[in-house]
Amino acid sequence: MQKMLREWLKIRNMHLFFPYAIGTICAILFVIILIQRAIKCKKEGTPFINLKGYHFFRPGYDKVKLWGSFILFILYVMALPVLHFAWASVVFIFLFNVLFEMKPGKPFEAKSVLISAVIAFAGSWGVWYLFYQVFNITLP
Amino acid sequence: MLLNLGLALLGTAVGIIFGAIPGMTATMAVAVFLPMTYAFQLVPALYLLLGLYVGGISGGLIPAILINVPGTPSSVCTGFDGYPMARRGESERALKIGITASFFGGIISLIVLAFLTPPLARMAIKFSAIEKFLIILFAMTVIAALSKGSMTKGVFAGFLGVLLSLVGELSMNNRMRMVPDMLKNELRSGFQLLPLLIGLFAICQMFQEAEKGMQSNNLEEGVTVEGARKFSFSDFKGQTVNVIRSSLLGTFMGILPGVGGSAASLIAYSQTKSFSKHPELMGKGAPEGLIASESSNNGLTGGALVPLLSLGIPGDATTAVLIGAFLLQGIQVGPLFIGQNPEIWNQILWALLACNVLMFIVMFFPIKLISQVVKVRSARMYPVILLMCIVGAYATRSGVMFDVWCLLFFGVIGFIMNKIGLPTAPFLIGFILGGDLEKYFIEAVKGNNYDLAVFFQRPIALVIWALIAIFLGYSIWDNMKGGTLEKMGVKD
Repeated sequence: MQKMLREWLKIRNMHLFFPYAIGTICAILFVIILIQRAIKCKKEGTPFINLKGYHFFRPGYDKVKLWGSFILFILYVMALPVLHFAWASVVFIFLFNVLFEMKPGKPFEAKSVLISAVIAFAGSWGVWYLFYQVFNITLP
Repeated sequence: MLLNLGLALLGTAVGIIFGAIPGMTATMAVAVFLPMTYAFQLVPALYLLLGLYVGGISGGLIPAILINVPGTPSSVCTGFDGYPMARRGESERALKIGITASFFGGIISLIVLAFLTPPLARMAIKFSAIEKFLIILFAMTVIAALSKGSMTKGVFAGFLGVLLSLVGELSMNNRMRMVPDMLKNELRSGFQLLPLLIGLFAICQMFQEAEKGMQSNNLEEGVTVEGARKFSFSDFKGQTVNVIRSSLLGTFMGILPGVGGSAASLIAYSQTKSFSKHPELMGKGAPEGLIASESSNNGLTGGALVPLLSLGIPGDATTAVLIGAFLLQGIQVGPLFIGQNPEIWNQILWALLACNVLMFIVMFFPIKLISQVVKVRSARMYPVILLMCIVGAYATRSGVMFDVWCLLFFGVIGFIMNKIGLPTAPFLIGFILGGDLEKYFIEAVKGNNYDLAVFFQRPIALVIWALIAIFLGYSIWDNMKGGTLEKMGVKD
């Protein structure tokens, strides 16, 4: 063991020792989790993999808001270098507001859209002013 | 001083708002506001962040009492008695009892923090790399042992966090590991803490709320803050033991790494019920249940700082975020922290005192106004929070867009972990402690002729092994029984 450790912890190998050790522990723990599940399923008489009735997302989840927020996030980050922080934020914070305030099957309310625009404009420029101008923090 | 108090007030008020909106937590508040501290020195930054922490934990009592939805996981038991009190027209009384109990809990935990941390740190200074390695291992065992659901999943999440922390270059030999060629510049120093924790605790939460449809909260008809029976400090008559016991239980739970506020609240509540002269009234609007829950969850705040400031090990997810504030200022928390930074240590104690007093003032007197916070729509809050998250992630390394992508990546990882039942707190703490775990292991083994027996030779090391064995034994026994915390409904 001592000889093996000495070899592993030589300067040229040292960086690999812990990732291998921790990776092995993770693999062992993963196998234990699987075994525990197998034992539990056997006790309860249920199949090990039971996709019937399985929902990764909660039943009746809000598809538009979840996937919409995910896609908007990606577009927002992509737009940051192009439009720069404040303008990209005005556009996307408005879209996020509209998305999150959307009610299924109901048309957009003018008041709600107006509030979204105000929040987007004031929030984005407010954060830009606070962090960039007052705190001198680098923004995209 | 005035700036510090102003920031503490701002932090406390904003923290209360975060705490009072179901779905938002104190951890999220601290994570989102961490970027603001780039502009401050450490002391003002700590006033702000501790204000957010105390306010965030305390604010959770408002929706728990008024709409029976805990604003934060740590208020899980507050609604058991608070809501029935509100239903019978005692909302104001219930809120004020909760606020006062929170204040007492915070102050008692502050006293424990002040007296327990320095001796613990003095003891830890004597630790060599061997003990430091074992202490981290012990912390990870405790996290895992007290993980709800499955101990194995808790351990697994903790080690996944450690594995992730190893990505990048090892400073001892300047070699990269686990980094694809295309990302070798971005990941030279590994994943950054701030995008990881903001992603796990803010972006992930946003996705979870989006999945639920960003539902708004409404005050039930008949429940108003105006109340028939008014609050009086005599409501605390005969509750001294309850307050002290619950606060100390909360503080103790805070000291144990990775134990959340809901565990503290549930354990204190069940203890109060065991000792109560009228246990049959608990759950039907008994002030003692409300006092137990609120004094214990605020007791957690000081307790969670004890291992952070004495050993460098965060007591909970929020104090793990606080490590970020110290790192930003280039200050290492651990056994040497108090000795090397006595001024900052004193300021932390003053800050915690100020934040508790401010929390009491801000919540107690304008309670009718503060209660309106539950009506704030999270749908309007999240886009602005997202804005702050982007700023925080981008500013971590003064302008690396890769860190903003990491925000999304860890948001999705956190979302998936929640779905498959892997706890995120052990993952985060594993990530924070992983680098030190590796460093101390290599130092200990190399300094002792590569002999692993060195971990079993020193007396302190043997004590730590014994503690590890006790916690592992406890968790195996508890898991066989079905998980005490799980059965009690611990959710964080």
